[in-house]
Amino acid sequence: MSGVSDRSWRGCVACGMLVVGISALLMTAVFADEGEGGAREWSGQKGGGVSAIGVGSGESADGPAVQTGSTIGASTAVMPVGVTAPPFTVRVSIDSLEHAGFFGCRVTIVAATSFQAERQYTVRLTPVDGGFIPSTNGIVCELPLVVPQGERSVTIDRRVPTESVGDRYRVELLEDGRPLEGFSSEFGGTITPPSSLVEYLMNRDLSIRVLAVFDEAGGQRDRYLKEQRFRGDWVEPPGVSPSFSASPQMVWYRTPTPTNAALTTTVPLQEVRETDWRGFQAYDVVVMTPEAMIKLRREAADVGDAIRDWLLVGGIVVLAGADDARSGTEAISVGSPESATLAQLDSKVWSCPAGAGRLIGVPGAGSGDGFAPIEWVRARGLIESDGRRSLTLRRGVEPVLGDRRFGRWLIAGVAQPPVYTFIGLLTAFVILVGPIAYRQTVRSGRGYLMFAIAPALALATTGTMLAYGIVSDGFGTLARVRQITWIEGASGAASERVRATYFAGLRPADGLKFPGSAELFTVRERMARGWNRDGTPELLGTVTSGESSLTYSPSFLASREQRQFVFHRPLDDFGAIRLRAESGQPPRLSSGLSFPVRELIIRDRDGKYWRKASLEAGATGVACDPLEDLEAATTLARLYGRFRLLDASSPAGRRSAGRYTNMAELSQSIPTRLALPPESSEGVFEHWLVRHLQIEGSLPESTFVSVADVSEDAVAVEGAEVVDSVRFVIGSLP
Amino acid sequence: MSTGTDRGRRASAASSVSSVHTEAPICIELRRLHRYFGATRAVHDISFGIPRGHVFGYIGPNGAGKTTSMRILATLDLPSYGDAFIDGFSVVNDPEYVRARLGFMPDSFGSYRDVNCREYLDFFARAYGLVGPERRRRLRWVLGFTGTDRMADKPMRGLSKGMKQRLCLGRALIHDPAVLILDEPAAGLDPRARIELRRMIRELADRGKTVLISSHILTELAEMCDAVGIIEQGRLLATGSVEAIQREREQHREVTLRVLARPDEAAERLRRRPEVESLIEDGQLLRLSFAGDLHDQAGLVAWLVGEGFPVAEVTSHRKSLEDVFLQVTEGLVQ
Repeated sequence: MSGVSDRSWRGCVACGMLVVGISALLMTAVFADEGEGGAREWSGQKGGGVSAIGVGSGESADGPAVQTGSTIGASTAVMPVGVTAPPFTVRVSIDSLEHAGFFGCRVTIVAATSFQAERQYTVRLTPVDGGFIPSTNGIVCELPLVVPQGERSVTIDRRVPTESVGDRYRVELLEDGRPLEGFSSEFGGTITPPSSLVEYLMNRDLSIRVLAVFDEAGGQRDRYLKEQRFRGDWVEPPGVSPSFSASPQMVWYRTPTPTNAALTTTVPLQEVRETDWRGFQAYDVVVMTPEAMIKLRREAADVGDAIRDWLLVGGIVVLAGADDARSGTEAISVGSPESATLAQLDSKVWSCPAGAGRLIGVPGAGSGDGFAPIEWVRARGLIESDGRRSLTLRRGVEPVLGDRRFGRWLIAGVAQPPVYTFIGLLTAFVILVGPIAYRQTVRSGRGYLMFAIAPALALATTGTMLAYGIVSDGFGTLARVRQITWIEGASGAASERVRATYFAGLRPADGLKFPGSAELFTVRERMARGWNRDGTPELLGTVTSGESSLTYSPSFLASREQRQFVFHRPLDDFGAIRLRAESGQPPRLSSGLSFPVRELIIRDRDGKYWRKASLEAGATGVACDPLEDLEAATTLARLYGRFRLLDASSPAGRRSAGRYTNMAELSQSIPTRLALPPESSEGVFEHWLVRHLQIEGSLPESTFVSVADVSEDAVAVEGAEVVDSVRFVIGSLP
Repeated sequence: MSTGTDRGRRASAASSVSSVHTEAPICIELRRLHRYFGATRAVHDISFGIPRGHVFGYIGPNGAGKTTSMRILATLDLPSYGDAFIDGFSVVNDPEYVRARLGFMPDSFGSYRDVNCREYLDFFARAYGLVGPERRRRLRWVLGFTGTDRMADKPMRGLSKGMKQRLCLGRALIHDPAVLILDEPAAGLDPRARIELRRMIRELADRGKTVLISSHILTELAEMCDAVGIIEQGRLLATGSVEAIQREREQHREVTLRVLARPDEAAERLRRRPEVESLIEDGQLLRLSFAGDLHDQAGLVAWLVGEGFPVAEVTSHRKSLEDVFLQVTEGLVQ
């Protein structure tokens, strides 16, 4: 498990364990903890601090030692409290992230003697009032834990979500849904945030967070990364630090802000223990030598895989000392050297796509300290011009603030009044009351009956309208899914972004079940206007983090409301689509995918386009048809246009159009501040689609795009009816 | 179904509508814009950007693709591929946000004969979600700015062409958009109305609005535009300030010199210089076609004076937008 981090804090809750990592100057939240439950001041200033990544484990006198690296504070609770000679003790440690994300949580149960029978416990973490902001974004996390018969201790590592900032939690141990007496504790503290939520978020997105990993046993290049000079050469130009004098709301984006501040965390290779790709999301760039990467993949394959997965989902990895793309891509086992390009004609700095991420190589200079500083400047230029450098732009969703993009992917025709049916019912009412009832009663000399008939009909009409309004949307669950699968052809690995909107007539009793490896966020329709610390604390629901799944409680999907979720995840051994050239004949296609794809358009190494209407799973030697450039451009744009993200498809979308003066534009303003194209605000996956399909009308060489049916595991509610959905399958050729 | 909360939200939104945008430095951006109608390439690979507060003239012959690209910018049509951004928002993906930031004045617009000016503007203000005092404030401002306040209660059927154009401009301005797109706004206006319109557009640009304007009256565009784009057969042939396009396209200047003594000899000496392509004598006046820029022209005059010729006047002809337009375009129509 893990934690990624770097921060400075005073008097933070001590966990009494190894804290690894070394120095870092990191612009981060700084707490001044006045003790458990005490007030913390959050200066948001640049400061040195302890940095660490990863968690090791071992046994200490009072139980298993856990070391966390934490951006806000490694917090630990030991239960039961104040009980002498308890039958067993529970230790819960979390790595709270500085920002919304998935934090690591380790639970260890140690008994004095072996358990006599299998026991099923649940650890529950409940955010405590005043310990999380915005106060409307609290999420309760539950971690199921099974202690097998005959075992004396059990440890589980899980990642759980937070969509707020703060690490004050109440920890409880439950059995059969009931809290066990004495097994309750709290950790973390109350926080005093800076005045502006937007300021806080922009601080994160405008600076580049670098994790430099060096091998203690490595050569001079590793020593270079370890030393201060590395920062001096590249990362932290003197005197540059993001600062914001803007007030909350909208003035902030008028204040010029440095966008080139970079903040470094330097960690020895041996201390990196993070085995989950989500643990690296606190960073924008990971820098290490190719030798260190090879060593990591050999000696700690899980950690190497986590970095690789993070890269595939949209991260940036810089290989310091990778003289050419071939050696660089071989070191990390992703990316194709043929797709590499040089940063400048007179530079040896190269970069190549690696799934949704980017791999950059800085060659060694061969003498002195091993690097030419100018090459670092060029590498930095590549990073600064890349939307992946911003966490919000990588994800394309801002879970703390809320997101105007909610309206871009809605289910049409639900949660809307059936206007025409209502008009029909009212017309029937008028006819029944007037020409029919009145005429009949007057003819029969009993006009006084109208005093009863008219209200009765009005009541019946109102009841019918109400009933119809409820029944028309049904009682089942609808899902509209936009799934983008990005295949890295050279390795056969893939990464995925799934954006799904759900509407339930009656909310599903079993909640929503997502893949366990996903980084998932709710997309809020309503924008937060600030930290909302004085608002009524609100818990969104409970997330159960199991071994292979994340289960969100039904409260995340209220009845008769559209709710939206976005998640990213890596996919191993996914397969690839291959194009084999044959002299004088059209090339042949083969598919290593486990599902068929349709409307396949491929651009080969020579820049020629080919298409195939459908390609079955596992098909080999399939002929494809040539496609002219112009036809390819219009076909690609039509493909995008059929499933475009459109912010006008519902009343919610229309309603939000007027609200463009509030902070909803954070997502739109970040690209402007970073001098990036505006379309990059939807995340790395969507940016690739809109750029190549809609704007340029051309694919990069050796890439393809196709569509397929939405996969079952992309839909979180079992039995949900999938409507108006799409799965884009894009990627590179091997 | 509109709820009280929704109404409140709209009211709050409307009250803060004015003068806010994302501060994108490029306010209008066309990126690889293509629009095909069958085999006809109405717009073919047009890319340019207009900075905030600039007036951009969009000129080209009939059928060049001006109105098509303006319609795409106004979210009334979709590109075949490519995209356009208004204040950072895509016309493909964010049409609602684009409309909130955009005022569009088409070349022809509908009017309601029995509706008066105030009611007409009030209708569109409500359509944009303006409510309460904010709507009344905007209405007053627009009536005053466009000079229609004295006719506010007059039915539209009684308005002149010029007043209708003003009213249409007012309609485009009613929600205080960051961007204005004006398609032939001066068509059919008398000279005074055109001057008034030009003044209004310049004033709007000075207030930070970004204006894209198409017109066939090129002299007017030259006076009010910071830059122009010349389009023909769907392709953008040139873009930039009139001077920049002129510099790019042509290094020739028409120069007239008044030489008070020995003009024949001066003409003879000038003819021998390689940069003088042709020369006509007219008494003391020497009209010459000269290959070179302004600095070269200064050098020529200095040389002539240095040779002892009394040069009393120097005038050089600056090419007009019409000259540039004729030079750039070929008069081709699809």
